[in-house]
Amino acid sequence: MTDGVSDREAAAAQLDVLDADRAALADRIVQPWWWDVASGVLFAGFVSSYAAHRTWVVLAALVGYLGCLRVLVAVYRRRTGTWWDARQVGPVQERVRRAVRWWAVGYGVLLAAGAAAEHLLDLRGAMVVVGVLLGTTVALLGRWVTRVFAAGLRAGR
Amino acid sequence: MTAVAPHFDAVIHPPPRLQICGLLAAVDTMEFAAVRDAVAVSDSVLSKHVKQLEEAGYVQVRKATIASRQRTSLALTKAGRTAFDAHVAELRRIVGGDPGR
Repeated sequence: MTDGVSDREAAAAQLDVLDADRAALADRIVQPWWWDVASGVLFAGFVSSYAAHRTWVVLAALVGYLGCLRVLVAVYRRRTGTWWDARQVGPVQERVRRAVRWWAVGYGVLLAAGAAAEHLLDLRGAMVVVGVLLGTTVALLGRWVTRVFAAGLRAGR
Repeated sequence: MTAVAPHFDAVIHPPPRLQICGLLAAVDTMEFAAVRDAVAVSDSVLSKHVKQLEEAGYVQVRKATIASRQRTSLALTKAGRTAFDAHVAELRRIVGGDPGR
């Protein structure tokens, strides 16, 4: 490229095309609501399995959870044609990393409290309550991450 | 995104390649068909541009057979991300460093 008004206009036009492509990508990457619900229900199911007090039940739930998660990932890839981790790519990496760190702290606290109630205080079903709470946060977090990621793409950041 | 030194990249500069890199920079991987639809070019044209980006070490092509269908996915390499960021920085510098872009 040489300098001059035409170069400036050409460069501006190319940046506009990139912005338009990213805005179109933002529309493409949003998963349907049921995808987040399914993801939350699966996680709730896995955590709730601790209430059974049987190792084989937890292991079976883990295998089932991972298998279903794999199917969910495949469905997402097929529907959107993309895969992304907002902590590693895109315009809102630090914001998402921070949110996931806070979620992990909450996850650890809730899990520990639930395990203590279930196994030390013998409050049967405590892990089911924790599972439902954590499953709900997984669904909401997934929805929020997609929303801020898409908004960041539309903003051209 | 961390600040990068502006650098004009002749491999990325042609419009379809700039668009391909722009899309791939926003995600981890993107299906060949999705990129083709977004850039609005034919399979053969996209293949040609992807090949050039691949030869420059900017794009990685992965092929997988899922449910007896071959699916091709594209990803920007680390070198590709660096080159793309530098090229966009150069475009912004030419435009005048408008921070709104």
